[in-house]
Amino acid sequence: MKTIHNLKLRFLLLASMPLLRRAERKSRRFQQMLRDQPFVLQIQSRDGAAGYFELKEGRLQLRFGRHPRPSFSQTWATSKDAVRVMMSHDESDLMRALEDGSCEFDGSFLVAMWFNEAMKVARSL
Amino acid sequence: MIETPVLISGGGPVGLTLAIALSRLGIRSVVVNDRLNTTTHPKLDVVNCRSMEIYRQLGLAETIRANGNPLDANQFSAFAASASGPFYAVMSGRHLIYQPVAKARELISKTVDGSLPLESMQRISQMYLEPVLLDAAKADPRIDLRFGFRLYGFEQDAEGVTARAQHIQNEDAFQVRSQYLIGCDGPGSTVRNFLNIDYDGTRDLIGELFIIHFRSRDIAQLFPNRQPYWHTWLRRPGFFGLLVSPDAGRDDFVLHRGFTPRPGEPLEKIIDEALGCALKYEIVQSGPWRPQFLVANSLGRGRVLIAGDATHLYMPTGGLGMNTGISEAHNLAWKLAACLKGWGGAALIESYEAERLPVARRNREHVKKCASAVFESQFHCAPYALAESEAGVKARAVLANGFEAKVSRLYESLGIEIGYRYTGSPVICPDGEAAPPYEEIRYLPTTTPGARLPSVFRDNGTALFDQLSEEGFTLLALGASVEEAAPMEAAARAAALPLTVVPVDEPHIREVYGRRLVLVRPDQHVCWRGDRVPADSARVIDVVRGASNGKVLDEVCIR
Repeated sequence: MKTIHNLKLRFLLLASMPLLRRAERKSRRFQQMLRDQPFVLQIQSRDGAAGYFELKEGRLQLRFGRHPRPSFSQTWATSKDAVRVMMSHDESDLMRALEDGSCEFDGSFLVAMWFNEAMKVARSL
Repeated sequence: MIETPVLISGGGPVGLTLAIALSRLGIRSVVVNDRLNTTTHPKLDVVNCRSMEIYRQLGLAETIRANGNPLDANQFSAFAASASGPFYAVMSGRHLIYQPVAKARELISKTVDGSLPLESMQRISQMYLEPVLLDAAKADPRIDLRFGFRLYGFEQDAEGVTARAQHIQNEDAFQVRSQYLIGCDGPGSTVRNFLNIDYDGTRDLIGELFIIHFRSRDIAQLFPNRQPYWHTWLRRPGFFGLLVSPDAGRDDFVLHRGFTPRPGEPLEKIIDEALGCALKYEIVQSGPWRPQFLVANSLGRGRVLIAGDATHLYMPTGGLGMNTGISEAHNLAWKLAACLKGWGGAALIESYEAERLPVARRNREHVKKCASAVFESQFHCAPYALAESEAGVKARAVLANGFEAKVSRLYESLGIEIGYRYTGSPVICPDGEAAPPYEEIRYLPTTTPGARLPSVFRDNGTALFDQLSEEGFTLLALGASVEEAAPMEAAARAAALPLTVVPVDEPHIREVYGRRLVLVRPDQHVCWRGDRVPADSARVIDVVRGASNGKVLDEVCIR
């Protein structure tokens, strides 16, 4: 089961890339955001899934694995928790996960806000 | 049809402040407000230092203080597992901001380097601030208050604006002809929408938060001297929130949560968890809300302008929502008055956007950083944070250090509150000198043109700010003779611009201001400085009153 949820999380991260690429082409706001300071946003779980988004030289890339020094990291107790919250229509689930300890944050929350805005812009197109 | 120089749509704190400020400059206004009464929601909990300076100029500071947190009560910000403790950290003595007003006044009066504001901040809830402003407006014969009327539409032409307002509950309606219309009508601003001005920014970056307003006499017993701290940030394994006491002298409390209650979760359970013990209280109201980081693309068109939440919508981290709006009203009032009285030039009203839009954007970035700091301070809460073990002690120290390092920026950013500058404004004369760093947290007193004049005290103990002209400009002659100022006085007289010359001989003030002559606007911002009166004083006067017709400013930048 763990492997299935790890794969689901990996798929979710992958599925965001076509949206982000489209935003890169079509959204002026997104293009502006790509000129912001470089960062690494890590999403990982304690049961083995790990991927990160890296903004560098005006390009946002997804890579799998653990980055040694992420600017911001989301560490989930399990991939299953991560998938459940990421798929939820209730935005508050992320904050609930932070409170109940099923997810831990570290680093600059500004990076998390950047990524949230990027995804909102990407989904709105 | 009603005729008035200025129509203000919106009778909240910003609209009322604008009306009061205009009246003190002799300008009548009509205020329409689509509510029948002032707010019953606590909303904001602070009038910041700069706003209190402005209210001092408007003669309202003491009344506001009398209706807010007692002068001897704390303004502390704490971090705790619950209101019953344990407390990880209490920010109390590290900055002026946390001091009771009485103590802050002592500190301010002893400061000679211009590094502190003239007024400290005031803890007060918006539901108790608005009635103070409303009473002042009601008592003012130059202000025609029309509560219960909503702006329905308007058209502007070269000479003015024709607007229609209709009662929210019946068919009563009236038309108003004004020379200016100012929309202080909040986030859903009718005026901004009619002007087709959008907010710039992406909505809902944080999601949905939740607020509970409740009243209790018992909570005070949890705090020293029965004075609840202003803010008690709450974090322990399985819980986070913020308990706000907008005024230690009242029973109102506001509990903020990072999300809406879970299905079936009673509000009482959330409050009990925040308090950490069972106390009596009465829930007044509750509901979700969505923090934003939005700034309008423009602050108006022609004779129709916007201010307050109509121009910017911020998460309250840093307390800059209404307070930015108060500064906007202050910036706008004297410019409107100048134009209505005939001495203000065409560029004066245009300078409102040139000066205030960059400040609104700067404040947004600061508020974002503050929001980020708040969340980050909650991150490292170990599961054993409340244990009596050595590990528990260390975990609490981590929380305390993170809180002081990060959350302090919400409170201590005098660089944002009083350090904003109108650099690049078409009605400011730059002097070509490098300005001190433009920092958000640290305030560096400077008379660089565009900056707020640093506040200082005369040798006789009076505040120099109290000697500045409210209706016109003030030329501070710092060791310069009054005769030296004569050419600038003559130029001002020729342009009908009110100018008062104030001789200042105190060495400590001359040191802070750094020039022999400093020209200060009615809003206490420096617009020109030099060591001698410029050869062409009329040019300087024309620039600062917005009548330079776009001529290059460099030539008037005489030191």
